[in-house]
Amino acid sequence: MHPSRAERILKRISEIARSRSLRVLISSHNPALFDALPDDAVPETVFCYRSPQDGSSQLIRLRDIPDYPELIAQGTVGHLMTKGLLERFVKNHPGSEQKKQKAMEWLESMRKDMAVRE
Amino acid sequence: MTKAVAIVDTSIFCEFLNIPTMNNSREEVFNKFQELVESDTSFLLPMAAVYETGNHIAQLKLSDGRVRRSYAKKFVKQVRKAINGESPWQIIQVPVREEIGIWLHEFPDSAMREVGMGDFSIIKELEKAVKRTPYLRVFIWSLDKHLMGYDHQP
Repeated sequence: MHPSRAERILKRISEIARSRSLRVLISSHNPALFDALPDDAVPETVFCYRSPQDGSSQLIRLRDIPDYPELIAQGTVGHLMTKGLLERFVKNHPGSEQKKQKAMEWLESMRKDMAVRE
Repeated sequence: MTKAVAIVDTSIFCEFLNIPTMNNSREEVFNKFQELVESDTSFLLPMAAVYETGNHIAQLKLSDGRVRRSYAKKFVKQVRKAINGESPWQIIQVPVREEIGIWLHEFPDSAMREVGMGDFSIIKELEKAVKRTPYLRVFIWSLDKHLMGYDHQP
């Protein structure tokens, strides 16, 4: 598919699906297609990746990715995939307890570090 | 898993950086930060907050220019950290042309409410975040009366 047609095709498919009450499953590697996703479809989009542990195929809804709000703030889904950010967030999340601990360490450094003497 | 999204405003960023005259509520802000971290909040930093904080630093009235430089360096260090994912907040991607077009269209009404372009763009970032995560609480974290109270509940 030519990237410039992605938005129109996706729109057309979703119109047809809605009018005929169909569920459509689209599988793609095309960043232009991901960029054309309507806002409300983005959190429900499913990302498929290879498990770093055993090489098996894994599926995860974007909204279920740890720190999804931070991830999606960095760009469109196509951009996140092209830059490998999506994969990095899915595979290398430190865990929420470690994240909290790092935030508290950062706060401590701000308390100490930010005292500028005039 | 994230339970809320906080859009961090200039007034908050300045408290963290300890910018003179904009650092009167540090303990309150630090305590709030701790509370938000513990309740699984994601923090997003809009570019408007970065620009406005940089402006405050450049306009500091200090007798010694070296002090202004020192604030500027601390600012740069923290913005870099945010870009590299080394601080608790993530910088929001700059808006695309189409978005700015929509913002401009709505700006005159915003100006009538005495909300400037910087604050207005932060409100628009909140709206964008709500669209992306409608199932989460999304709010502007600010000490500024124009921005307090923007709080989307799922």
